Amino acid sequence: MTLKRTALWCGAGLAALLGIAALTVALAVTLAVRQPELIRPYVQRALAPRGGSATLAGLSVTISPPTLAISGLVISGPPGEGELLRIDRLQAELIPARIFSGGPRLRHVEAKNIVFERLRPSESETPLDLTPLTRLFDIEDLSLTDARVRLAFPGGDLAAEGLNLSLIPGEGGIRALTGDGKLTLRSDGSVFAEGNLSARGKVTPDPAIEVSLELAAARLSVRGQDIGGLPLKGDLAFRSGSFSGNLNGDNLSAAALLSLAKVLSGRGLDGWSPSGTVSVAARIEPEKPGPRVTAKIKLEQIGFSSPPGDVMGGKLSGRLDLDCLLGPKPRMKADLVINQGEALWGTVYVNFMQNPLDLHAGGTRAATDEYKDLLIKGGLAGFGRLKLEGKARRAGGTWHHQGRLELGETGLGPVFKTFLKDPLAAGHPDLASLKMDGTVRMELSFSGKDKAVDLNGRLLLRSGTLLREGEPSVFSGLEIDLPISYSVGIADPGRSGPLLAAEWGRLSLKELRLGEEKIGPLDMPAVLVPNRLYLGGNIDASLFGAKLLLQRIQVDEPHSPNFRIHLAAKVDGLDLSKLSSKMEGRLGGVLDPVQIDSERVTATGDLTGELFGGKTNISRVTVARPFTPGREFGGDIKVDLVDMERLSAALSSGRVTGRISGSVEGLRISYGQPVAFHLKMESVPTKGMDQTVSVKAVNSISVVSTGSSLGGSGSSFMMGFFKDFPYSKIGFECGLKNDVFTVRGLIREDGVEYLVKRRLLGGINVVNGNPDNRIGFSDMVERAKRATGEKNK
Amino acid sequence: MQKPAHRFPFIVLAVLVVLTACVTVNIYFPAAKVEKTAEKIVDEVYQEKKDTPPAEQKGKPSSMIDGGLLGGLTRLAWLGPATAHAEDATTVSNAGIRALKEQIGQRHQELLPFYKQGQVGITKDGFLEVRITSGLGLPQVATLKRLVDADNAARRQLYEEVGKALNLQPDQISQVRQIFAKQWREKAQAGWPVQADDGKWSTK
Repeated sequence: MTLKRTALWCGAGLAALLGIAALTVALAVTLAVRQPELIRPYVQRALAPRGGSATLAGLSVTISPPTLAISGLVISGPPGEGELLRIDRLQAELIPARIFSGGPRLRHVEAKNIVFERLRPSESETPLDLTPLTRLFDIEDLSLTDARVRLAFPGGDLAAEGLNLSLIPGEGGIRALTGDGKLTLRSDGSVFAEGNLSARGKVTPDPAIEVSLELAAARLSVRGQDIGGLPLKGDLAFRSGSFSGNLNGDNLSAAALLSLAKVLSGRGLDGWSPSGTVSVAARIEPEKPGPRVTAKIKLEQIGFSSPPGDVMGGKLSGRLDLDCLLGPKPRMKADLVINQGEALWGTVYVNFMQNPLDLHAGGTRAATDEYKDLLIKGGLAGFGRLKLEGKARRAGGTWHHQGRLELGETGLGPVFKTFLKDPLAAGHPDLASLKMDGTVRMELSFSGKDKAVDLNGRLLLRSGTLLREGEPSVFSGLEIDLPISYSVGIADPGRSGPLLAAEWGRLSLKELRLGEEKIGPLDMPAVLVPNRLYLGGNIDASLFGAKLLLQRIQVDEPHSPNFRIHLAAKVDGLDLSKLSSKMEGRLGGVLDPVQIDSERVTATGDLTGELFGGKTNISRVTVARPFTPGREFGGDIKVDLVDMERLSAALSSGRVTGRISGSVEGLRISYGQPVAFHLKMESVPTKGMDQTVSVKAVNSISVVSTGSSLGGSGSSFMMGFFKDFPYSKIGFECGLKNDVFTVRGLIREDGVEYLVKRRLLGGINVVNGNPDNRIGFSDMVERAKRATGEKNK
Repeated sequence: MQKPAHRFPFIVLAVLVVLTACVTVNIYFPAAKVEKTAEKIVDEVYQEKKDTPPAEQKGKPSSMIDGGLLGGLTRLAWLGPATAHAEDATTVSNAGIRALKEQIGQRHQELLPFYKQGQVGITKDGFLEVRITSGLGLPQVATLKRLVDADNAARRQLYEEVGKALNLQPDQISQVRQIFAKQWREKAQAGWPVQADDGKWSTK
């Protein structure tokens, strides 16, 4: 019984509430009909957005037919940032019978001079919301005239003016839709693009909307100058709560599209100067979980240049296919093929007709600042394929990323030619005639934060050969199987030590040619750990008659311009005659450590050995700029008790007997010529060895020191009687600096400077009559050639 | 006896004065020599002036033979007038500088058409810059850029070599560059793009 009573009371209460509500509505309608000005303030308040305002000039309601008419409605958002809606006049007639049944609820809607303005660019990342179009389902007969819409974009604003839209009822509840208007895109205060938009279609009771859109006579201009047309046609349909449609544009100007993108995005895209045309066929189709947008873009004769001019393209043709699945986790896929044209990146030139490019990219935006299934793969035909897959997410302002990088079998020849030889041959002529063969393959996993990346994987190089056209290979049979562990963008990666022996890779070389000499085969373990390349074991080879032993080879930061090579070198029995036919002797020694970087080679240690029957010592060996054509060799040389007879015979400069000791300090050689040195030599009396100098040798000294040979009948006379003159001492020093040779005698007696001092009872003096003499480099070269009998080339 | 309290600061001050005097470094920059060198190199590269043979050093013979017992014969063996060609002491040269000058000179001949078309210009720092590429196919642009890159590398090395030959400090190389830049631009032919010190480009 209690339950029945409770239900009774509830029913009575509900009836009372409904009655009150009905009375309120009836009162409101009565007031609206009879005294509309009384409810206008309430309507204004209800229409005013937060922080904004609404004003309504006129409001009228009629019962038969049930019609609402408003005039002078202005709704505006917060000052300076809101939206503005202004309606001069709007009249809508209600169909009460359809309030509780299907079909349009508004019989006739007439609106004039509607203005909608959005003064600030939308910050929303979602696509344009088209659901307001569904309001058309509720209207049987529509007449919208002279409407205006203005939307601000980052780089300008888009205005649709003189908009007219009508729905005319037809058979079977189908209403014909027509509309037109003028679209204008303004940027920097001037008209950037304008065109006439027209729409034809129908609204069906499904409910559905099908409409064909056409943007005609669309032109784009920059500062009054026409930069191309933008003719677009499309169809749009709304059915079962989903949109579908297509948009087509043929031969759209690339310059116009880029300008449009610049205006719409507000991003600085100045200076790219594109040319060529783009044809677009885009579709939007309903799919789960969101609409799918696909586009086939045909690129024709595209040209561009980056603002600094470091990246350029010309006559590029190909296609770009885009496939985006929108929704809460948008997925995107892009396939690019360029099979005509050419590109220049810095000094690297690629002809896509010879080496077409195909590139495929894709990924899913799993959440804000989180991307999954990222994939980039592709390559240039004839080069190799690159595949990069991974994921990235941002946390705490830092991007974390990880994935895999795979370089498929890649020909070293095209890579060497395109990225090394062609770009650098202008400054390194030696490269011009080089050719490389072989293949390389690499698999790496990566993980890191922002620009810091840890790489782990393996590099495989097969059959590497470098050869000069028409000559035997510089090296051949290079095989590398290198485990890689590398850190990029990390200041101190920790420098792990070499791995266990089983984890080392190998580097082998069949043959390396240095001039006429051959080294090889070589085979050694190799591994790259952060961030050092280790070559285990020793390189044990024969070179110029010497046994060459290279040990403890390590390369710090091998993939960086700041790489440093460390090693220890042992040379034993280097045959100097194999370096130069005029040299005689052997060298050996230990250079430890030898350090090599892009700027300099330095070696600690000496090379010692025999030189023309005496001894020699070479120290402070350096090479400046070792990897450039202008590399400069440096060092100090000491010689001790060199047999001058053998030396002078080698130089073909006459016969001198005896022994000499001295030094060459600060020797620098560049481009095959001495840059600077200071040479000091003095004869050393040696028991059992004569000290004589031939007339020819005196003549050579004369030629070198004065530029003149022994002239006149005197020398002929002397040569007729004497072949050799005894001497007590030879002493001289000469230097080269700033292309100027200076020669000084080291024997000074009674104010006279001798180069060669005769014996007490005979012989010949060679006197330096002009100690301040300065000899130009080219002149000295000429004199040396004359003294040694070498013919000018 | 207690020392006056003010003596310590005075000693410190005195030591500082002495130290300051000791560490005073007199930086010398041989502007005239660099300028002469730059002028000579630029002339030779541009080949506006033909190489003139170095002046012969006239005067007394540079050496002679004194024959001792054959004293009388020494006069017969008297070495004729010395023909040693002294290098110009006001300029700087060595094998590296000569080779670089030759490289730049050879490349200059390849760059000449580009200068004349206004496609490459001389910067205020003594280097080259690609100015415009209109009218050129991409392979030609690649060639031009490679030439300019190679030439700039050679110029950079040339300035360093000149500085090294004059025992200049690394931070003085910029002055060498500026002196060369002045010469490159002053001796440029009419119609070549040049960059003024304020960074503005014009056609000479």
